[in-house]
Amino acid sequence: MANPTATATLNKSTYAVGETITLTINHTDADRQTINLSGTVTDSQGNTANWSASAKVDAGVVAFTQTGGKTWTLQSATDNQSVYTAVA
Amino acid sequence: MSPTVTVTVTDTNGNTSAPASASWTVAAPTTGQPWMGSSVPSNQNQGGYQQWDYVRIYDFGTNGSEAIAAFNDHGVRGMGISDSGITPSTSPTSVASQVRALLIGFYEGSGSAARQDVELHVALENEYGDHITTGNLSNWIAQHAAAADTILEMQGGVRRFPKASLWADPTHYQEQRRAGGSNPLPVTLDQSLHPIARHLMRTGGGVAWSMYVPGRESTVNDPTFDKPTTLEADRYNLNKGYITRCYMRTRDARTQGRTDLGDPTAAMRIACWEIGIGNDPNDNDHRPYFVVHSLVDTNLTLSQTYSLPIAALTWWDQQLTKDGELQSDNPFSHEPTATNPSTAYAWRNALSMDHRRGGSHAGTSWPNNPKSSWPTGA
Repeated sequence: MANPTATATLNKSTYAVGETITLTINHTDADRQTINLSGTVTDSQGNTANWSASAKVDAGVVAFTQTGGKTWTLQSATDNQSVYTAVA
Repeated sequence: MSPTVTVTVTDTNGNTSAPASASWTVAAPTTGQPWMGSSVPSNQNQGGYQQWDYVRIYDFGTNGSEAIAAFNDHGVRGMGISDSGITPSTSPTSVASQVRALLIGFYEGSGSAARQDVELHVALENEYGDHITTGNLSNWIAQHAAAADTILEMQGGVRRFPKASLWADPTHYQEQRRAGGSNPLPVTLDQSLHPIARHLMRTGGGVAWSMYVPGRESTVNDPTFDKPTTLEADRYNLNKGYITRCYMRTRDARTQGRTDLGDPTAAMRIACWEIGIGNDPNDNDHRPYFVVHSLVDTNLTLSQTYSLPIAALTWWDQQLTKDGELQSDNPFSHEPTATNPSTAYAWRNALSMDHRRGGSHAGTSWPNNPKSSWPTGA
């Protein structure tokens, strides 16, 4: 299993007091994939129904350490990118 | 050190990415970058500092001699200057002549090449509010029209004195002595300041206040930590509103100036020409913290609230005098120079010491300030 990779980018380098800091984290994992399963079930009466489910392998969880003392709020997330904001 | 955020990503199998970091800085306030200054009478030592961005002096001298001496002594980028000989009854012609002699001496006299970029903030009188009467009000207004015309003199199609501007110098207590309040002035500040606002504004000047902490001379042995209010409702609370009412009166004067000029966006500046408080010899971190987080921070907040750029903030170190002599508990003059940080150091460096504005704490005890033992009482 491979380690994930991460990059962290701010939308600006200098902020005014009270301005919103936007932090974009791009994260990839070579092992990450989504497995889709589907099938048909049949009950004792012969009725059938289709089912499907998906499972994500190696989804990532973002963890923070910081010196800025900020509270970071998640604004959006996809498999490969999470966007957080804080107040300068 | 710039704040930094470091992130790692851990997948469901417990594999963790290498740390990824990003750093940022928080800019100093953008409304005004005030010059930090000190008044420079001979019996004050300005906290041991010779060089200042800004000083306050009280006489035009002959052909600008006082201003030239202050520049030579303190290497300033700007100065506030008024004259002790001008009264509200001085003729506008005489005022214009005296202002013109000051400007020609300073900007065109001997050695003037080094002074071309120095801003001269010219007021006619120090703390003028008590001197205006219904009898001299019209002359007071005419004086400022004449002084502004002189400052705006053209030569060869450009301003002859482009770094000069016209200011008026009242006190927060004079503003507190409004009509309907206690001990009202014969002519309140709105009546004397609003009519001249257009003359201040057309030169790029403004209003320069004395903003003393009420009771400043009584705080030596029992200091209080009373942060001035920024609430408009407390504008006329004597002890809490001493900075707010300066800003609100200046804002109101700007409104009248814009109307009179027919320019709804004309700018007005503000300055503090005197502020200070007695020392507390038993607590070396109280005063430095107070000047940064109460006096300077409140000015910066109100500057942003009312969009009034601050030209300069100037300390005055004669809170405690007896029979005209400086007593031993004035922070700049009497604090041990080894005090870390001294009140003078904190005042000079306030913009970089206010942690709420991107500065850093100075002094190891500051993160615990204000201390619960510091009394309040305003």
